[in-house]
Amino acid sequence: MSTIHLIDDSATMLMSMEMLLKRAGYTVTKSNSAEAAMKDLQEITPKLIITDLNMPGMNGIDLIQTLKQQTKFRFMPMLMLTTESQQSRREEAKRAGATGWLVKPVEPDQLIGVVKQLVPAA
Amino acid sequence: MPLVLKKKVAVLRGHCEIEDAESLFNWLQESSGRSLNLKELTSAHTAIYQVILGFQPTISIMPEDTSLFWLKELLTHDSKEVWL
Amino acid sequence: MSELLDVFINESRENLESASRGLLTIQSSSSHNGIIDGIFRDIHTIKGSSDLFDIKPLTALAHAAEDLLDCLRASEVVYTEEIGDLLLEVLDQISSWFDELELGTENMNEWKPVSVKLSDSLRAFINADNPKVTSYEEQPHPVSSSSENVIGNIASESPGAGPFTSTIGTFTSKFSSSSAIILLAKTQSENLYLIDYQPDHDCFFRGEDPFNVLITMPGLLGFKAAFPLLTSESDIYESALSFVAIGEADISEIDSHMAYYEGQYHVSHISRRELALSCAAEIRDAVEKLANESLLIAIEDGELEQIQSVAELLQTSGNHDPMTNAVLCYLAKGNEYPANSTQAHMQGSVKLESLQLTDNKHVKSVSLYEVELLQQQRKLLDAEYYNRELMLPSVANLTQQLLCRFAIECDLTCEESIRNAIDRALSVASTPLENSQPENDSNSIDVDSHNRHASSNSPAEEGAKSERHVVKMLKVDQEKIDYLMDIVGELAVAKNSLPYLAKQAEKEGGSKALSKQIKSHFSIVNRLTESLQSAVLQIRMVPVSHVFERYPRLVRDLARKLNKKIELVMSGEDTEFDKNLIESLSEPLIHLLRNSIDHGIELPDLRIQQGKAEKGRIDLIATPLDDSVVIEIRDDGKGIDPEKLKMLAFQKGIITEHQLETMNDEDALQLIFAPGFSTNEEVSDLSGRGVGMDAVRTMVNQAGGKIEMSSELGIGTTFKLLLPQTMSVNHVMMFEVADQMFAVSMDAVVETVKVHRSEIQRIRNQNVLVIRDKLIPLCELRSALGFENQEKGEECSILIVTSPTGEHGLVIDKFHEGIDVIQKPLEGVLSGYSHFSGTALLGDGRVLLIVNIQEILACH
Repeated sequence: MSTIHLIDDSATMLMSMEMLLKRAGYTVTKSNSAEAAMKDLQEITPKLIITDLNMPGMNGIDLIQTLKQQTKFRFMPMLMLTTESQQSRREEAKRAGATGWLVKPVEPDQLIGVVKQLVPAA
Repeated sequence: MPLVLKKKVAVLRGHCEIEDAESLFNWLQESSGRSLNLKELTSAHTAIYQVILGFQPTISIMPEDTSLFWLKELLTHDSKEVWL
Repeated sequence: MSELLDVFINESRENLESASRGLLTIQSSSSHNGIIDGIFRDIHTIKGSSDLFDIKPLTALAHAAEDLLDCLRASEVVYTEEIGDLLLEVLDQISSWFDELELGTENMNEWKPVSVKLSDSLRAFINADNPKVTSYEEQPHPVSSSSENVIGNIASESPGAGPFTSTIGTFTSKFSSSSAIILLAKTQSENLYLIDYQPDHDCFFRGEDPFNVLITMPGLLGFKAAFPLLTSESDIYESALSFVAIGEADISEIDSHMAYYEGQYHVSHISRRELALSCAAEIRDAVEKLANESLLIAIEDGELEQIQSVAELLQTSGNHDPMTNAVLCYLAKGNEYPANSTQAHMQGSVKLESLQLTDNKHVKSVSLYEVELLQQQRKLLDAEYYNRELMLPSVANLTQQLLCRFAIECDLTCEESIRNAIDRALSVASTPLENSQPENDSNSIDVDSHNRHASSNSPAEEGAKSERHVVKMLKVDQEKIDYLMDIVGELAVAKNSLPYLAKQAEKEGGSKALSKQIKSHFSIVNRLTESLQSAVLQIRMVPVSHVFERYPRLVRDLARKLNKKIELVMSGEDTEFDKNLIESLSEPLIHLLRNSIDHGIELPDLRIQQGKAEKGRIDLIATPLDDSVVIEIRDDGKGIDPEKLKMLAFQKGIITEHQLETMNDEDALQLIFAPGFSTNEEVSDLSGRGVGMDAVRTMVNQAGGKIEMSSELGIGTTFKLLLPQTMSVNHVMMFEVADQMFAVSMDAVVETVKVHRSEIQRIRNQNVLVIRDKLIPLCELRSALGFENQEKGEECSILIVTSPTGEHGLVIDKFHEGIDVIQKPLEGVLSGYSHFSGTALLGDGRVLLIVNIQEILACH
């Protein structure tokens, strides 16, 4: 049972990604803000975290940076959702410990392809 | 359980995570002559492969999964060259 | 999929509303800072999610709005009311598109021109000098993507890796000597790549898994891995691996696969042809060493098929060394046996010379000398000291010219590698330019950093923010709550049978003890049910702000249209109201607001003349009062003239002349509620669409409320509405008419009587009954409710009820018991029938119609 945890302040985005991932056989959990994610992730241990970059409150990069300081998350793959124009942020995300990124709007094939790579066992 | 450490044999099944690498490594160091049963291994994190390849323990049973053909090659030959 | 659309529309409507509120707040206050950011965020969210659906015009419009808002928050464009209006118009447009999406009537062809027009208007503010024309194909920030490619190129083709020969060199050096031949045997493709992948030591901490990245490389044919032997000192969480791999795929595919691992790999193209050329000697040597007659003969004869079959045969027999095996495999696959070296060279030059093409205009033959020259050029271009702006363009130029003149078509790799070298050199030269960043990117970076500063509040604020998030909310489907309500309602009714059963138990079962137990349990169940009922009703309570939210916008727009200046001040928005009933509250309020704006508040000039403030003011106040809510709408307009009202009422035949003379002001004002009234001669198209105050009052009454009005000429008008907060449990009395069940509120019931027909008297065209010296007018419910008249029996059952117009008697067929019900207002088609104030569901599934006494009597 591979769980993927999604973080985005848009319910629509969360839902659309959840649908794609569930169809591909993954279990999905969600939080609608970085702050909520910090709490939710105390209980869950997913195989992969996908977080939006721009959210009210803590942004995706800071979230990744904070999580990476915990033992539980030190090796966990994390992806950041960015928009076309945020290239410099991707590099920043890598420095913060992100594995990679996805550009919105995310193509279903692309999402599943990347996820399959980072979560070998479905 | 993906990693089962017994007295003489460690059995790796299914997918082994990076967190298992430390236990496996420590276990291998505890006593010589320990071997690995990779029969039902299907995939693993690089850190696990790094331990297996770097420690060069005895492999009691090779992985049967076809996707791990390359691992079998690396473990059986010295050349470290794999053709798929 | 439509579930996703629903979520999208609902979420986006919230975003739209939040954005609208923000824009309206800007109008009234002067500080814009956080607000514009919030609006930007709302639009940004809408744009992002809309991209999931095939609604490009909407996305494009949202994008244009987002861009403008971005400039606004970066203070590049100054906010004006004109911009605010345009943005509101855009929000409205998007909202109406949502309506279409919900109904399934959306039409992209209609949306497109609207989107383009609005987008252009929006963008005109950004670029005041030269407004851009919006097109759908317009990609945002094209510059950044191309610069990205350049950066990608630098990373993927190492400056060290020179012309093709060194790639092959790398390959043959890393791999075994026979590997080249093995590769040649494996694939016929020209599209080969060589990748050198060296994962960072700390890559595990970024969630990277190098072996798996390698194994899943597109078109992977083979690889060589380097890994250290581990000691007890080794850090197993440090990656000490490196790989060289070879495969069959476009370089772009590899770059795509390795997108996240920039800086950890180099990939380059390998030409199969060149590889074959470089192995030629080895292949020949191996064949010679094998010294097999049939093979040699076949080779000399040049018979490809023969070579193939002999090689195949030889493969299966005997033990050969890896090299021989590889060669045999190579030949067995039908690959060409390489001719000897001089031959090969000759072949090369023959090819070049055969470039004596028929078309003399464009092409000249190329001598070997010139090829040598170009090869030299290639080497020079790669050298470090040429990577300076001064030398490069001229060198590049020269080479280009040479290329053109000689049109080397045959030697593709030569041209290609020269081109690559030139491109590489030029792009490396332009790295200083990269640092300063093209216009677009610098803007986005600034905004981003600005954004980060804006969003990274002080720790204290952050703490407070997350605290607020702790209040856990549940989003629940309204249908589920309604269902819950129904069940609770049924439970309330069902429990009512218990006392009866208790009685039965005593009477027929003869068990008093049992009866007592049932009764005591009944009281427990009763108490619990009542708590449950009120708890469920509480769930449905929402603050009136839900409804009030729309009003400022409404007021603003209406005021605008009439050239009036009006301010809406609201308070008590937290007051809670039942969600279902809230709509019944909203309608009358909107009409009252419209009236105030249309007829109440005067034009600015007139107001100033009267010594009032130019801006009219409407107060909307909600206050809880016991089980009800008091809503007050107060305006400081011109008030209502009782004289005028009386005159109009008289003209319309609503009152008599006598009443015209004698009626006092207070009563006169109440005439406004009379049916068929309109206080303004010209029916203004805003509020005069046949909606008078009588309709408002009916709405309020139907919702179980009351409405009052008071007004002072020249000062203003106040409306007070009293509405029940929840669909409370009503105790009603059931009765039967024409075999149907009806009920009236128990509060209204005075008494029930059964009289002989003869006791009914007739006075002035109306049936009356005399009870204890009281004259009670009667109403035949049968006919009042529209049933056929029946033969009247000897006895009449009459329900005596009170109403604002005194006591009345309702003639019915049969009495029934009183029960507790949860009354639901009439919906849909039935809502027009003012005879009934609501319905209730009986335990057996029958629907009970609850009669509105006032209306029934009024109509009769």
